[in-house]
Amino acid sequence: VSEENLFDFVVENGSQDLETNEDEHVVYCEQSDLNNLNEKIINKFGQTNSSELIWKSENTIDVNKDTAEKLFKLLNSLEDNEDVQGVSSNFEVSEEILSLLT
Amino acid sequence: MAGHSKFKNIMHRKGAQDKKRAKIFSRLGREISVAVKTGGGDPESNIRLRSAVSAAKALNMPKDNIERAIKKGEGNDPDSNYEEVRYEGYGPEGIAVIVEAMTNNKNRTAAEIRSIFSKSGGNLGESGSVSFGFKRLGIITLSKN
Repeated sequence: VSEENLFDFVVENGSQDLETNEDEHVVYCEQSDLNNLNEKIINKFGQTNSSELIWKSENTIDVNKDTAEKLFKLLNSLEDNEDVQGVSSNFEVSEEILSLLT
Repeated sequence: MAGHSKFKNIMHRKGAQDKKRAKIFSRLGREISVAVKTGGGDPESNIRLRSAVSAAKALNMPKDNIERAIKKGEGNDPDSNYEEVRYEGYGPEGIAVIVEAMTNNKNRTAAEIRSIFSKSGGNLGESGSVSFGFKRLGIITLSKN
């Protein structure tokens, strides 16, 4: 799926934002549009990898390697808890640090 | 958040795959059960259920598991009587963290979450103390190729 085709399509269909990283396209929308938009994308481009509701922070905080290491440990422990459905956070981390820690 | 979704992807890819998979299925199953409990077992009239089933199918959750989760939502077993709870807290350097849980025992879950935060040098805050800086959004991911 090319970013350009996807961008045009999702903008026309109520998306708010589109980000592309090494592996994936990430489409953001209002929570009430999620199911509708997901179905439209599937019809047009094929199966999506995931569709879910998240909390997106309005401001992010850049973290250094030390903080990122501690924070990732916390996020992983939370994710691993049996009752947890989702974890959101407001950090931003550079590619370099991310690749050092994962 | 850009960093966060990337982080999640990488962790899921590199983590113990089978364990993560089992965990993801149980998570999706709970979402389906709660969707049924709150809006009924008919996906035509229950958008949340439709959305949950579609998310489960996207991750290749077996059909049997999906049907079992729907039955659970229709039944009255107290063990599968899940409630949605949100915890808000801070990690190292005051990084905000929102945790969404579904639990059949709020006391147990709250104690566990609190202990995870305090072990990492963070702490749980009052409800609403963190989420005011966040927006609830839908997110859809698809592969580039």
